[in-house]
Amino acid sequence: MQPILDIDGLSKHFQLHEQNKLIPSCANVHLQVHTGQLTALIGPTGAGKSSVLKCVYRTYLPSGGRMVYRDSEGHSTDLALASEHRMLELRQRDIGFVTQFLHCLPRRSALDVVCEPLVAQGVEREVARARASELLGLLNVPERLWGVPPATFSGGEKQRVNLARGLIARPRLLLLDEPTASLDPTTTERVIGLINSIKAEGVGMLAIFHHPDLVQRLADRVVELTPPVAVSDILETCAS
Amino acid sequence: MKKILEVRGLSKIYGRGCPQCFDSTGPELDTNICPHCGSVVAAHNVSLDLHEGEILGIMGESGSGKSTVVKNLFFDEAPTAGEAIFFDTQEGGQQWDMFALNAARQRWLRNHRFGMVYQNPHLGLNFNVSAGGNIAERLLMSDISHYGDIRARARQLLARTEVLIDRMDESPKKFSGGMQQRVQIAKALATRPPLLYLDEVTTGLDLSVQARILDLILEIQQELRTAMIVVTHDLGVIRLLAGRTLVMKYGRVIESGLTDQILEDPQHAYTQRLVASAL
Repeated sequence: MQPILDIDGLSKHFQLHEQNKLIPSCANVHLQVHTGQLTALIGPTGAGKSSVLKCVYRTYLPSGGRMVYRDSEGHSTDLALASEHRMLELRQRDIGFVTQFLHCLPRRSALDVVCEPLVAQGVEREVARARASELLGLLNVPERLWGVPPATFSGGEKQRVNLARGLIARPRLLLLDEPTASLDPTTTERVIGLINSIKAEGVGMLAIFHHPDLVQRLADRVVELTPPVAVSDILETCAS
Repeated sequence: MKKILEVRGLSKIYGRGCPQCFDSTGPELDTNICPHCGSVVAAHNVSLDLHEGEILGIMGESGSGKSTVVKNLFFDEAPTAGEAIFFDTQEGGQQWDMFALNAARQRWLRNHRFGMVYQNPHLGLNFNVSAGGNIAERLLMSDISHYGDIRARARQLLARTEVLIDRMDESPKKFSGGMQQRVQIAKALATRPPLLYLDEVTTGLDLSVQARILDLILEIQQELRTAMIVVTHDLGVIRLLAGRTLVMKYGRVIESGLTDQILEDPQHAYTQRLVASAL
C-alpha cells in the first residue's frame, strides 16, 4: 500500500525581516500517513508539531522538503509546490484540518458553521444541516446552542464544533491538532469512538494529542519531533 | 473550476511617461513617481488569474495601485500596457481580449458581464434619479426594456440587498452611507454578472453596517457563484471574503498566496509589517 501522504525532509523556518532573525520551527521531518490509519506526532512544546500540520495545509509555506499527497485517482501532488488553486481544490475535497482553536465566520450559527464544508462541496443546506445536527448530538453539544454563533461558547464547546466541522465532509486526509485538549472524559471517549469509526471508513489522519494514553489507543504510527536548533546557535558553536 | 479572467503584465502610468519609468520606481526604490519625468507609475506588471465563483483579494495601502487594477479591468481607464482575457461563461465560452476590443464592445461587456461597486457611491450611482431608476438604467443598457419587468426586477434586487422597497422611488441622495452601498450592490447585480469588482466597499462605514454588507456579499457569492475581485486595505475584509490574496505596494504585486498563508506566514518584509500592525 502506498501512503496517501509522504513527507520527506520537511523543514520550516520563519524569516522575520523587521528583527532580522531566522526562527527555526521544524527540520528534517519524515513521516507517512496511510489510508485508514492514524500517524501521531509527538514531542515537547516548540518541536514544531503544529507547524508540520500547517505546512501540509499550506497555511505555512514550507522552507524545504517534499510533501507528496496521492489523491483517489492515484495522482501525486507535492503540496510544497502545488498551485494555490490546486490547494483550494484539495482543501475543499480531500484535506480537512481541525485546528487547535475555532476560526469561523462570525455571526453564523453553530449549525451553519459545521455545515460549511459540506455546502461548499455542493450538498444542499438542509441535508448538510441534518448531518451537522447528528454530529453535534454525537459530540454532546447541547441542542439549545445549535442556533447560536459559537463566539460565546466555552473552550470545550468550541472545540466540539470545530471537530464536527472537520469530520462532516469525510476528507481523505484529516489533520488534527489536539482535538481533545479541553474535553471532559465522557466527551473524549465519544471523540475516540468517532475517530475510530472514520478510520474504519478509510480516512487517513495526522494528529497531535496531548495525552500519551490517546496516542497509545489511536495511533498506528508514532513520529517524534525534537525542537530544531537555532541557526545562530549553530553559528556560535562553529565560531567557538 | 474554470478560469474566468486572466491578466498578464498590466501597467498603468499617469503622465507622459519615459523609458526609465519602470526601472526608476517600485518598492525597492520606495516611490511610484518617476524621478526623470515625474509620471506616476500606478501599476506595473500586474498578473492574476481568477476562477469562477472565486473571491480574490487585493490588499495594500492607499496609492499602492490596487484600485487602478480594477478600474482598468472595468474599462474606467485604459492601461498603458498589458493584456486581459475574459472567458465568457455564457454564449459558448467565447474569449474576449479585453483591451483590444473597440469601445462599443467594451461597453457591452461592462453592461452585461461585469459589475462594479465603488467606495464612493457618487461614482456608482446617479443621484439625479431614484434608487429604482438607478437599477432601471443598468437594465435598460443590457436590453431589458419592458417597464413592468424592470420595476419588478428592481424591487426584487432592492429587497435582496435589504433596501426598504418603500423608498425605491427616492433619490439615493437621501440614503445613509450603508444604504447607498446596498443600492450600488443591487445595481451592480442587476444583470447577474459572472464577475464583480468591489473597491473598498465598506471603508468609512460603521462597524455594524460593514458587517451586514460583508455578510450580504458572502451570501450573494454563495447563491450566484459570482467571481469577485475585492480591493481593500482592511485585513479583516480580506480574511472574511478572500480565498487568495495579492499584496501590492508602489504599483507592484510584492506577494501573493492563499489568504490564510498571507496572514499567518507572510514572506515579504512589507506584508509582515502590515499584518503585525493589524488591530
